[in-house]
Amino acid sequence: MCRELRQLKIGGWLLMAMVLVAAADTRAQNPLTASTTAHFAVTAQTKLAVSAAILTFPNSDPDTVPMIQASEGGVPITASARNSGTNQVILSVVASDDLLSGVNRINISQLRWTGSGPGFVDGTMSKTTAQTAGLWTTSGSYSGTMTFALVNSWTYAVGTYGTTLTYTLSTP
Amino acid sequence: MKLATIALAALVVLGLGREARAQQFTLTVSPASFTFPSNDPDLVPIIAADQPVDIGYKAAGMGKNGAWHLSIRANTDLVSGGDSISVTNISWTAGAPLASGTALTTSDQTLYSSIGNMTAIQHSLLTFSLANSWTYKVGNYSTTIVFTLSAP
Repeated sequence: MCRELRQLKIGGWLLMAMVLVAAADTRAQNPLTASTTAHFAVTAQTKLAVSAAILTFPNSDPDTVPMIQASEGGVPITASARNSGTNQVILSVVASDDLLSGVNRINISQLRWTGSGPGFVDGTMSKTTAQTAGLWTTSGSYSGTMTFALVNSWTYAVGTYGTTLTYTLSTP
Repeated sequence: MKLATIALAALVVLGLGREARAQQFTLTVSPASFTFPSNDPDLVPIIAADQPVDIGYKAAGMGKNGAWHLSIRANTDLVSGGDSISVTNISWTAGAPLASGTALTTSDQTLYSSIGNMTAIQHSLLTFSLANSWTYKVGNYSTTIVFTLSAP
């Protein structure tokens, strides 16, 4: 009886040892993993597409057409930018000068626009200070239109007027 | 009687132990890291990794009907500080017999399943790609891609 008990004890230790060996071996071989690391650096980037080279405001009777719409309709704009997430993405526009025709001029503040599309805003043109045309808070590609109109007036001298508008997309 | 029971249990465990010890998995991954170059999303909507990843694998001691699997997962999304890019934007093409995938996830996806033993280590190339987007915020992103060789 005593011998049987001793054998039982020895058998128990043997059993436990075997279980431990089997567990350790399984851990080492199954499963087996290996890895690689993927890196991706996103750098600050801006891209601007303005789909109109020329805007034309047809001559009109100031009494019947107090605001002259550009013949080309809305100007499609796509502003794309990557920023850090804390800086704003700003689309601005400024005129090189008033609308000029020889020595005659029409104040550039007579040129207005309405913006459509997420982040695009309405504004009045300036030749001295860039005006905000679009404002966003995070990276993305934003499409919209700017529809220009010119305040009409009997005071304008006869002539063919022109100016240049410059757009800037920035992530300050 | 008790002694007989223990002896039987010991034999069973011994048998299991031998089978587990006999499994010999080999798994290699090279290189240790790779890069997705930054690109204009309009011009490069899908960015290919700068180099393919070589996977070497071998299963031995499986027995004639021993099943085993090679799987892939990412530990996390692509992370840069508090910003992240979903790892599902990463896809891969694999050389036969491994399976290609359209979206990496943080759960295991099977690359290859088989039974039995391999006589030599098998190598396959995986080429990873990343869907590019203007919405990604500036940062240095990374994630660890884990390959697992296992028997159920």
